Amino acid sequence: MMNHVLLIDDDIDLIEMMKEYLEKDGFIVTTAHDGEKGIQEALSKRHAIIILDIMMPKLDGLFVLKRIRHSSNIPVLMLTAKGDDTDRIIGLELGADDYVTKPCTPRELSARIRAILRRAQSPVNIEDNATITAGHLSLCPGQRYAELKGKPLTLTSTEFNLLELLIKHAGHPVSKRILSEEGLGRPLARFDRNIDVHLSNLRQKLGNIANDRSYIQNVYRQGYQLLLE
Amino acid sequence: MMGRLFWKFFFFILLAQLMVTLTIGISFWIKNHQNDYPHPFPPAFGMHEDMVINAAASTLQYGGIDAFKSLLNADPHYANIYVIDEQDNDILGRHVDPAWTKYIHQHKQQSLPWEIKSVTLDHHPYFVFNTRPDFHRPPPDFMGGDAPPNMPPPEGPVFHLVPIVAAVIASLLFAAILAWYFSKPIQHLRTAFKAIASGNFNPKTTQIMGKRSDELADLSHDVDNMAQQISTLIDGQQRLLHDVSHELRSPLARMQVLIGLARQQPEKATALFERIEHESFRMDELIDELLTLSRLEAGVKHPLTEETDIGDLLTEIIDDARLEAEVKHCQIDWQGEMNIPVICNPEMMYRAIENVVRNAVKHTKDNTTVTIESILDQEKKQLHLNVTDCGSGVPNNALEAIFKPFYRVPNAANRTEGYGIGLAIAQQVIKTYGGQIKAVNRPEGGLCVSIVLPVVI
Repeated sequence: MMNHVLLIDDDIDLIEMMKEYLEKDGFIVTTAHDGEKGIQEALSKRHAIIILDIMMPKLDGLFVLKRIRHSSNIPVLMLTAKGDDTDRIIGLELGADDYVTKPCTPRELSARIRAILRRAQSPVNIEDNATITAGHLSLCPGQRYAELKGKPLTLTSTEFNLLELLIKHAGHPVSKRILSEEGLGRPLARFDRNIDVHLSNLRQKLGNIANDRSYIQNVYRQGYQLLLE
Repeated sequence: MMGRLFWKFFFFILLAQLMVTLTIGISFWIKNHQNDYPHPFPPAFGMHEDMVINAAASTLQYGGIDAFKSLLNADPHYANIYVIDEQDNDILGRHVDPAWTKYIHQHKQQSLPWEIKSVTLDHHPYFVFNTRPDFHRPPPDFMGGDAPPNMPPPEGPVFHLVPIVAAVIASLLFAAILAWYFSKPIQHLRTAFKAIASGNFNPKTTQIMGKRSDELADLSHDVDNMAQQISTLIDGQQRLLHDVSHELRSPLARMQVLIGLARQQPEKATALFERIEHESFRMDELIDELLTLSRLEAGVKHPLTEETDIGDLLTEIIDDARLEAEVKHCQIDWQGEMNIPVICNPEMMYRAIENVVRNAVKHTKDNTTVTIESILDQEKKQLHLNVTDCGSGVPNNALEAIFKPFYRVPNAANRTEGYGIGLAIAQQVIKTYGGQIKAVNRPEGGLCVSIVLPVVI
């Protein structure tokens, strides 16, 4: 379960080779060659992470992602074509945790999978088990549980990580570099819009505070800040 | 803003109109003066008045009063001629208007105007004159005599200016309208071309032209069509480029993973290198096929065109494809005409037919037969070549699309090797040599690709 990877891609040769590589690297790999089977597998809750190819001929990867997100917050890593920014942004908006451009080296993929899993399954220690609160928001990193005004929030693991960072620094801006490195586990690239897309999703899930302002504010040149109520 | 063209049109049209106006004006002027010069006096009953008055005066002078009387009685032309004596009485006793005598006495001190003649008969002076209705207003004195004092002022240039100004204004107006009529649509076309140049392939010039129907409207229609055509072509190219990069990326992605595997497991390297090699061959193949296709689409005819026997080609193709078919326990059955001469490049035609046959073998189910049928239509000088498989066919709405590059039938049961360029190449080759290719689903299942080619008999 901890390192069970689901690979969804229509290129059978490629996926078999990936599987071979990842298994040697210490993962347990299940494969699915089309979206239909991919969704079935994904919803079986046996996996720790899903690698999803966006460019699939039969059932579009974005559609598969939507279906998975409908009932699960499992980390999803997208494989997108280089230069296809639209698909990537839509994927992130639909709740994918990260993306890797194809073609990619298996080493890169493996490293990215590890990064996401590490963040999603960060070891529970006493400090993390405590509940952090800011206004109506409360977060329990140990249980990966978040609630707003007493109602549980449904967050993807990336969104949870970002919210955790913001709440720890509530009232102060957190730079995009820190958000990227600590929240996404990757260095901030130039023109990288990932953080913005994830935070925009998070904003929508949190809604507004009293005077119609969003919980999360973009501070010019300094990053993002969680407002204190 | 009015462009230069407008002003050019405007000035040329204006110039032309002014020239016409001027020419017509000059010709009228000349004509009037021609009428004026030899006989400036209007004819009275067919005779000129100066002649009438001279004749009357001569008759009186040399024939005497009796001769004058008989002239007046004999000829009605002379009815208006009066002769007065020193007492201002008409010698024939007719009533004399005092105004006439006043006019005469005013002039007799000086030289007499042309219409009054003085005659001396038996030492008595007589005045002969013609009592025309406008006796007091003789025509303009062109013989150098004085004008009568009550003559109206001469019609000056003021009166001629009105028609000239009107003509010029009308000319300006029409020149402007005409120039606008021509330059406006050209401006529209220019805007349309600019739009096309900047990537808007739907300039809708025909709509702007409205109900106009002339060469300019036709031109705008053609511009719209051209834009549409270019847009379709560019879209096609864009899609092709997208597909090509995707297709090239697949072997690349596999190669990268293979290299990763080779690093991870050096003991397997030899086997993995072979697969990497295989992938690189595939990429090469794909690029080769793409180049062929693009050359064919550009309409580059292969130079080596000769009379080729399609029968020979088919024999070779079937021999080649048999190996593949045997793996699936399939048969290839060829019936019909064996000797089919066609003008084409044998290599390209081989590729085209091979692609169709191999496609059929690929998609036919195990333990079935691919049927090839060649029929010669002697009358139309055509070859009908039908290649039929026993596969699952394609959806009816995809029957045309399968000839497009990289098209893959959605939900195809078996993912086969290849890129989906084969049938596109086949179609281009067949088209190049004046033929047609189409696909139909057989009612009993399976696809039938039929080729029609012109033959030389």
